Amino acid sequence: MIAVGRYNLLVGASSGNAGWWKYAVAAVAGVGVFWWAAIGSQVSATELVKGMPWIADFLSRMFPPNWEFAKKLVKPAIETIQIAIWGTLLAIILAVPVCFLAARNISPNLAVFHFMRQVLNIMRGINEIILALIFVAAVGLGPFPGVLALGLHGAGMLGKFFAESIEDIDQGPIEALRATGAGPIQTIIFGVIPQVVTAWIAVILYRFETNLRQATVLGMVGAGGIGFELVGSMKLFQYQDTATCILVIVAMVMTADYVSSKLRAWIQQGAH
Amino acid sequence: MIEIRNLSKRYGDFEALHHIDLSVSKGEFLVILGASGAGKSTLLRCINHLTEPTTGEIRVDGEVTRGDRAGLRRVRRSVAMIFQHYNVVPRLTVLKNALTGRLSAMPAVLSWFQMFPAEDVAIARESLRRVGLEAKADVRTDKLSGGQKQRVGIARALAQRPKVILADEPVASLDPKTSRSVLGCLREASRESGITVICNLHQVDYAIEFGERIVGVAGGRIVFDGKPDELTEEVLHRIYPEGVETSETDAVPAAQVKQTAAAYAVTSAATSRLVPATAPAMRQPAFELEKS
Repeated sequence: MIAVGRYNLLVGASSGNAGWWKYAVAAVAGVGVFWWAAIGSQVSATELVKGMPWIADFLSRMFPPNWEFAKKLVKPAIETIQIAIWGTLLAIILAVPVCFLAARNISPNLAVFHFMRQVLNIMRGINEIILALIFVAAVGLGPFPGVLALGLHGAGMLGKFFAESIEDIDQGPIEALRATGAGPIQTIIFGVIPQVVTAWIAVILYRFETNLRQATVLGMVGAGGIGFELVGSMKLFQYQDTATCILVIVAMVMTADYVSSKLRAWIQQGAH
Repeated sequence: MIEIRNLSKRYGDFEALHHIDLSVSKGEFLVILGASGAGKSTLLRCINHLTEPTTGEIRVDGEVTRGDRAGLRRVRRSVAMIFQHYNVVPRLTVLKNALTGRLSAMPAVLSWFQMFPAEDVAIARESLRRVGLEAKADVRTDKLSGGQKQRVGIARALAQRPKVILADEPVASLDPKTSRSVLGCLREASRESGITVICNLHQVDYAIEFGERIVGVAGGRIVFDGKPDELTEEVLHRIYPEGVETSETDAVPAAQVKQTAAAYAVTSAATSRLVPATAPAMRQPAFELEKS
């Protein structure tokens, strides 16, 4: 404790032989890392200030948004929602069989458990946009590669969350069901599913919300939805149309966010 | 009904069970008494192979269990189990919990889609009636009290139509009044259907009140096997070599408690009949061992 006039500076006492020096070294090292990263990423306050007029120019070109263009966005917006629905559904279909094998307490053995966890890690590790690029190349332009991209990446996410909620359940009923001689699938249906169903629904809703957000940008790589219009309008320098696209996307994402958080709260309330 | 020969179970260096020999006849209500860590639970769990014994042979109704999946399912069908923490599925209805006792006897694929043979549903309802819960059949099980949940556990066991019920500390989480009614319920079931019951307990008074035969276990060995009235001070000392703990004080000198135990042994049968239910304080057990 250090007295500073009428105030006391309360900081943790230094311990060990190095005293405060180790903190000083750590602080210098930290500043060094930030400096190094700033050089690599060309972070520059002066560049930002110099660029300000251009940003202002860009924004002024977007204003006012072209409301006429909104009519043309209805169909792509609906398509975006449809992509998000099927992306989520596909993710569930892929994740459910895998998640039981990827849960330590249900998995038949440790090798299967570790293998399945790695499969999920790989699926989750590849960004949706990169997956969409691959699927556009494979099945052509349009919303379907978007669905496949969301489904695959989402399966990695959902599979991990599903497996973790299975690991959190009370093992007692599982043991009791095994002790009655029930089979492994019966044990899952009567012992595991009832214990995880509310957690799963909450995760699925959250995933749908994320998928909708992702589906709005998938169009940038040609995988359908409203992002396609966004990129198109920018390429044609129709910045007022771009502004409309951005506003529609923001409205969609906010609505999905609101509805899904309400639904999740409602489900979790009923879950006690 | 059950023949256990030379049963041992090791966990690394720790020997949980040491060359156990035990036979239990049909319809018997056997209480296994012992402190926690004595090996009671391991012994019970070896019988339905929830724990795999290190060595030894267990025969249930003359049959040795094979370790493969079919063998396990066979022995588990005829040997039901009741747990200390009830282990009922909280979000299923009471009826469905009872029905899970029939899962191994019904077509699996139909059961995945919640289609159950009418006769199995009837058996589950009958089991609920026997534990006095037929009115709660459609209630979600997590809405029930502890004692009621344990009755659901018993109903699930009865629904199996088992030859043997293994009860692992079935009343350790319940208050004395509820404990007596749950144990009574188990005894009724055993008598009505001639089911062999092996019940682990750590409370001496319940063992005396409900056991037809008591087996004392300490340090992984059987140290006593006899009738409740043979449970003398000296025997209790063998079962509880560390001394007896009560629920209220930390450690009471063993001799003092054992005197109480012996006194209780003599009077318990009379007490439970004479003391009316309106005097719950007097019905409290004279002592309770290692409250969990």
